[in-house]
Amino acid sequence: MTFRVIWQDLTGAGLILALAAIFGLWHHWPSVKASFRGQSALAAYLEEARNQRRETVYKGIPTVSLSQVHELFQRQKALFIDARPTAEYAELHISGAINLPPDHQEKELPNGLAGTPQGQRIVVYCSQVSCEASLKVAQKLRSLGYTQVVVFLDGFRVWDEAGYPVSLD
Amino acid sequence: MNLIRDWGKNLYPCPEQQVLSPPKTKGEPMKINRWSRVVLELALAGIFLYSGLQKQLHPDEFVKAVMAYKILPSELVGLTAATLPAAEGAAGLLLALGYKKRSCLLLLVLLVCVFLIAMLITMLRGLNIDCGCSLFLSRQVGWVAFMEDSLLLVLAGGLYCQEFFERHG
Repeated sequence: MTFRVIWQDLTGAGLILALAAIFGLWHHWPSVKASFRGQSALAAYLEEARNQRRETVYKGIPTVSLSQVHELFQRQKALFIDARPTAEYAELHISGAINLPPDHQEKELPNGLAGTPQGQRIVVYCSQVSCEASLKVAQKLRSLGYTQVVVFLDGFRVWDEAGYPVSLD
Repeated sequence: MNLIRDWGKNLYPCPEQQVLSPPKTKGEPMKINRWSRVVLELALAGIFLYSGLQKQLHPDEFVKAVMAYKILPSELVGLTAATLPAAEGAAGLLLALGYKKRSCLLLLVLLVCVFLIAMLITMLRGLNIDCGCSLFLSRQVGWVAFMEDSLLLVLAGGLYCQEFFERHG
């Protein structure tokens, strides 16, 4: 009796799971099809989906390349903001960068940003291209009235690999 | 006809009891008050329904989270990422509606067991990744996430036992 009841419950659970699988396959068929083609096809699909989503969510936020960022750094024409978690920033960051994670809750802006003219060129970066923290922080800064905010999408990893100046303080 | 009262009566035919009643037969778990069980079931249903919806709304992020575990071959990553959120949402919704409650609870127990095993494997491997199981804030795979999901397992399992012994004890 007990096993029969448990078996009935398992059958019901299996039916719910099967119906959920059918719905999931129908709703997410492009990603399922990409995964059947292999890891590289799935990675390409995810990158395309990510880029499309970013174009929609973070519309209008300009991005800059490594060479452009390095030029701004050398000419000291921009304020650099590190959008990574504080622990990662403390380990190493672009020289002179200020830490401002997306979940920054304090009402006052961090030292170095408070009092900055709203026309100041600001470069925001995080760890790598898959990280969206820099886009979130850039969006937040634009909402605060800063008009010259750009995002270095390749992130700190590419900067560090290029051997450009980094610091601990 | 009072639909809500009749709905409650049909689903929970047991008479009112104390918050916790001692078991009448050996092996039978302590019974909890009808309305306490309703609240717990609705809370559990809400958690999984919300979790499933969040994953449905951000499917590419969940695919990346499943890939990051590095447990499944790429062919199964898409299928898993498509099925799990739908299964969570369906089980949560049906549980909230009171339809096939035992099957829903059993399915949730199985799902949480799968999550816990995946987290355990990841922790043993020393991978520091997002668990893909967060409701409001991102969480890393670790003992905190493991304990939280263990509590969900205990809750779902306990409610299943309560339902089982109420109907067939």
